[in-house]
Amino acid sequence: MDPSSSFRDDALNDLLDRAAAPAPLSALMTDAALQEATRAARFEAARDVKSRLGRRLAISGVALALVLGGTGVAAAVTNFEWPSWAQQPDAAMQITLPSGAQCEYLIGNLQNADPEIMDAARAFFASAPVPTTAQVDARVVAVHGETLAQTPEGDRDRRYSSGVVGVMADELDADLQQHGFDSAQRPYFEGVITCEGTNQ
Amino acid sequence: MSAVRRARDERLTNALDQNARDLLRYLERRVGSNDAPDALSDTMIAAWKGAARVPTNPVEARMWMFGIARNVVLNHSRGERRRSRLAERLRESVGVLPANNDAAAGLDVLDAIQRLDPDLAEVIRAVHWDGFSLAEISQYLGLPASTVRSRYHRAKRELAHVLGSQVELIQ
Repeated sequence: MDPSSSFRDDALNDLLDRAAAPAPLSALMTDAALQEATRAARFEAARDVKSRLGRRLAISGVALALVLGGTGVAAAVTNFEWPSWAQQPDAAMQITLPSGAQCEYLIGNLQNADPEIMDAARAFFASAPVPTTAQVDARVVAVHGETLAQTPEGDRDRRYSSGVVGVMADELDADLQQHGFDSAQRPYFEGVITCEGTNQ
Repeated sequence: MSAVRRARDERLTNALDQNARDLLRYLERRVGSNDAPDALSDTMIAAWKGAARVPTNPVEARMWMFGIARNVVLNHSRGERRRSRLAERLRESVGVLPANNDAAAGLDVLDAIQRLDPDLAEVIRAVHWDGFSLAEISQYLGLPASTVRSRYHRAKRELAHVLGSQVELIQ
């Protein structure tokens, strides 16, 4: 390669390097927002897959499914069919049961005659944090009179699952009250928990 | 969840955490700032859906994710877009973007790149904007290194011809 050709190549490289399209968004995005996106994408991917495979998963018995009513009463469901609302839940979060099983907890099917209460409840669920183990433990003590550690091992996962929905219901009540609504008007809602790695 | 799956999920989480900003920059330079959050969201979701295939080697995992991002860009070009809540949250976390004062700079070069065959333009952008080596590009495009090398040289020849006067001026 002759020297003038090498100069031209360097000059062209310089032009191309400097022509990089601006990327202000990636410069301004915080690490926390990107990390949150990674985790949210995991749930969205799981939800997409479940909406296609939910029925097969439930029937094949590799997933534990509980339907939890708004009152916090949980019931194991046999011959579980994935509810249609689970394709567009109002909240999706990941919880870890005392046994170590990783679960996805979807909330949806909100029902209330008052549209303002519905809006407030949806807003709550859209940003509600995952209940902490301490919150769930306190709820379990309030209902069963013993901590999770004192609970027979075979009942821990089920109590924990019920405790999560109980904490969510309590938090929703408090949130509605803060917004000037009567907590007794809490919308009906349902939750579905699917887990792997448990036989309860 | 099995130990194998837990390890795989942890590997993908780490890989996405380490490469998310580069992925966003790559996407932003191809689909623009407005659509980049959607493209990143689609890339991340596709990565999780294909988590079983994430390479164990971190460098290969990075190239695997850029391969997904490239497919998202191609789908975007075909008009297949979706707005997700995840993308909205990303947009909200940044707020209003500053005006781009350098918009006029290098427009003719950008235009010349855009006029290239899309396969050639991708190699130019990847080398000069994203800092990839030709070997890395061959990994994420899933092409032989010789093909990528040949595309790069052809693109450079075409650009040198179109931008000839500017190249002379810089000298």
